[in-house]
Amino acid sequence: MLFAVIKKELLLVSRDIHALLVLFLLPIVFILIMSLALQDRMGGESKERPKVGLWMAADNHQDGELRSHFEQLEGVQVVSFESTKQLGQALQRGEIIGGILLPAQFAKTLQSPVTERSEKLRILYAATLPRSMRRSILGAVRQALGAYQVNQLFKYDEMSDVQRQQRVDHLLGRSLVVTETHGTATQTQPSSVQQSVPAWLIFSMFFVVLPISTTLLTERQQGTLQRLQTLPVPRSYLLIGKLIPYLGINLIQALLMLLVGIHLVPLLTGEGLQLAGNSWLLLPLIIATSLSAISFALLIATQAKTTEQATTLGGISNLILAAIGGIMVPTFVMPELMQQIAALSPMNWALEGFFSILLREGGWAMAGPEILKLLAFSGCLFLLSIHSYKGLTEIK
Amino acid sequence: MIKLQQIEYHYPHHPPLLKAVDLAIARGSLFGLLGPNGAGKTTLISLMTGQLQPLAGEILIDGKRYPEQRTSILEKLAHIPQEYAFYPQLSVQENLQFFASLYPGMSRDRNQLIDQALALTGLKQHQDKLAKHFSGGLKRRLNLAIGLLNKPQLIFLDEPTVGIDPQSRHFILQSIRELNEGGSTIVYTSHYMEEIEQLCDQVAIMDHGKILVHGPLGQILHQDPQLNIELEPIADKQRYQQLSDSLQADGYQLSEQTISGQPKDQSEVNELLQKLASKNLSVVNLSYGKQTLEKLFFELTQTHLRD
Repeated sequence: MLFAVIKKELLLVSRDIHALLVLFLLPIVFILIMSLALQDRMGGESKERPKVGLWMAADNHQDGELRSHFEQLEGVQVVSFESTKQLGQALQRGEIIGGILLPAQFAKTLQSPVTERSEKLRILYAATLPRSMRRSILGAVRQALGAYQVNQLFKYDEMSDVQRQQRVDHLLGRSLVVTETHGTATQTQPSSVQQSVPAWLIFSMFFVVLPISTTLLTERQQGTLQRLQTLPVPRSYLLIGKLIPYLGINLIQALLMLLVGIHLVPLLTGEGLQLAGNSWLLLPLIIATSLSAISFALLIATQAKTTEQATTLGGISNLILAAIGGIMVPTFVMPELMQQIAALSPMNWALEGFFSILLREGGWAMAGPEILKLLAFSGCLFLLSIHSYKGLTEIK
Repeated sequence: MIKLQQIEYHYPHHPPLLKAVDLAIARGSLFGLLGPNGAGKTTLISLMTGQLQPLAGEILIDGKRYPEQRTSILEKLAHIPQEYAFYPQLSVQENLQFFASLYPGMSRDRNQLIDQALALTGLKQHQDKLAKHFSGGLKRRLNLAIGLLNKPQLIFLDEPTVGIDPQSRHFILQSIRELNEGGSTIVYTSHYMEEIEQLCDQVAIMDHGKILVHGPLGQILHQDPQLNIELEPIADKQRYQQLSDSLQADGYQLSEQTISGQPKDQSEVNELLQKLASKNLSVVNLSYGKQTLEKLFFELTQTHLRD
């Protein structure tokens, strides 16, 4: 008897393609994505080290030893730039995670006694770069300076203890390094809340696929859709009628999550979400993200034949888009190939839009392209949804 | 009211479903559309209600065509599907308000039309209840009420009495009669033959994508008593042909193993039976009397099971 029950359960599960997908395919896909995404962060020798830009004022180039130390920084791949402008642009495009600027006379500063000169090395960090990565760059720079200075140390002899200590401090670069975040007027650094609120807001917005597909498929299974299609109302209105309420729901979601980030999280962690000067751009960005999420949901709902199929397909698609799009793992820790793949995910466009506004204090020039990409994506998917919605009654 | 000419249709990657269908349904008639599962009834209704476009042929509803005059046709048409085509999470009133709001010309007298639909279907006292709590009969009545919101001149009813108690069934059939008496043309599909016989004045029986018979109910069922004699199979083809010729000379038809015809009186029936006995032919089954729709249906569509 027990055997019969076990056999029945095995037969049922073996014929449930959605359950099998969730049980077997999803973990395989996740293992692949996460392994690729985190290969540079977790253990093992990294094949691809993050790129850091280097600009040296012309006179510093004459000091071959200094140049050599900075071109071989520990743990990063150094890319030289001919101007600070070029370096800044590369940083903005996300091609490098930071930049090191050696001003004119910096080599002389290192070689001179303590108080004579004050030219300082500048380190620029990408706005989304976490503190741990910032510390790594800073450490590498200090190491390079230290190595250079120790070599210099032997060139100075007769000094008092006090002078020597001052010299050591100077040589270690403690008074010579200043750090700042690229693109922000203030010294605000991205906190965990600034990373997590946009990421999980986008993720949750895309989960409208569940209620939308459930409603549409219930309508279809109950014959309500058939009735609606015999009413004198354009079919596109029926889909637009679904789009608008969920746009409202997404806006409420966004408002709630932003409020939680601004007011509730500081009570727990002491650090809250800060809105920058161009925060008004969040509204078009959230609307564009919402339209993408809803259009994506409508397409899945109109393609799926059962509620189970829609919820499985929708859920798995969202998880994969989130995994490759920088929601679960920030894109800057991903290898270059994965970063290129990330740029295909609409969740990544939305996330980059949020970072441009919240962290980089960017205006329309920075966030606009992401908003336009999301709008184009939602437009295409909505048209496809209307097309497949028209064909729904033909699927018997 | 409805005119179908040479309609052809098949679903993508499927064999032809409707083959050169011609059909005319007069204004004010109560038209019964019959056929076994898979005969093409639902597809035919989907074509007549504009949900599908024919691959060949022409459909005219009151002289208008899909898709050019879709809105104009649908404003005066109602399709009441077999399924409970409403929102169970909404109340009766909320469902009616929603569906009524989808008719552009109804905004002024919407509440009045909702009241009329509630009254006709006896749902007035249930209007604030959630539909999901309803019995099968009440759900059928709500399904009907939604279809009546636009005061349709043409109503397609797809098996509206499936799975309900006799009282609800009686009520719904009575409501359909009243609607027809009020001037609405009704196209009614059902597997309950006695319902069609009670209700409809025109009937069409279809199978394998073709209309097999079509016309006034009385004409189709014949006014005179009908004789049907089922014989044991005749293996010898020559013998079968001789019998067929002989019966035809007497005014009877032989189709497969069944002899059918309209004898004048009892003595003519006896004569025929003696003739069969003299030819050593065994009778398996014999029926004599007025034709019923069920008999005709099985004669035309056979009794083998359908998918």
